[in-house]
Amino acid sequence: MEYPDNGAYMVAAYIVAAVVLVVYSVGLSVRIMWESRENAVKNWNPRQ
Amino acid sequence: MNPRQNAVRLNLKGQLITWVALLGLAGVYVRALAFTPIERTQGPAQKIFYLHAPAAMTALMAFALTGVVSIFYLWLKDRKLDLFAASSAEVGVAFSVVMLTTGPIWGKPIWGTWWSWDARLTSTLFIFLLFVGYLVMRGALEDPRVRAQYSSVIGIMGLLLVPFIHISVYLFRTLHPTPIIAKPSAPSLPQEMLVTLLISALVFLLFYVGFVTQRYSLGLLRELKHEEAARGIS
Repeated sequence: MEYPDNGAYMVAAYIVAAVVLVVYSVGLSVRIMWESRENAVKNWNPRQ
Repeated sequence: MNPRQNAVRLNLKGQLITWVALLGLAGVYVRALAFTPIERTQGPAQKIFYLHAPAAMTALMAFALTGVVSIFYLWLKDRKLDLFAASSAEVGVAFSVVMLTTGPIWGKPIWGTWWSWDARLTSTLFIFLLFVGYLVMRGALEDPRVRAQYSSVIGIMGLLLVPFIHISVYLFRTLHPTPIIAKPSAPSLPQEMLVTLLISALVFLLFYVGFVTQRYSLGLLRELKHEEAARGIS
């Protein structure tokens, strides 16, 4: 069966969607890591 | 367990859900690309629909929840509601980016144009920009109470837009297809395509839960930092 030749658009969309989701996920984790680290440094007490 | 440990624990749960969702997304890709038939008239580009539609549904659900929770915030003044609304709004913006990028990539081969200023596309772009403004405004306001109140009002405005976006394809002449699942009659998709779409929708829902849980825990950690700064610990 003959189909329109537009597979490149499909591949592009699948790559873009994965990139957006992975980048947001990594960004969120990095922001949480920084916030946790900042909290840990501020609350660090050498006398404890 | 202290509040910080609670927030960190919540983040770990969110991360776990997000990882499951990422694995699910890989499964959706395999199913959509290898085990779902190619639509005869649109060709392979039709498969963009398995990402675009779930991303759109999840984004609109996220914005609607932001609005509903904002109503409850204005009533109950519980800061956790404001934190949830902000988390849902940010995650909704992320899903909107998927929706607004995959949509034009589908539109170019099918409609012959990347974008059309019709009611559905324009109102979707408008809600995206509204919630980008919501996030920018939250970043600019220092007072948590004022920030929560102003954000709630914008969140409720966004909620009012959601049903309009859904029915815009019936109200106006538009290039955008009418809903194929969220409609009174039976879904107009062959079984194999419908199953792929539903699995993808479930995976996007899982992403939403994972992302919101993580974003909420980030908000809790930030609040703790500000509370400690106010008490003079830092």
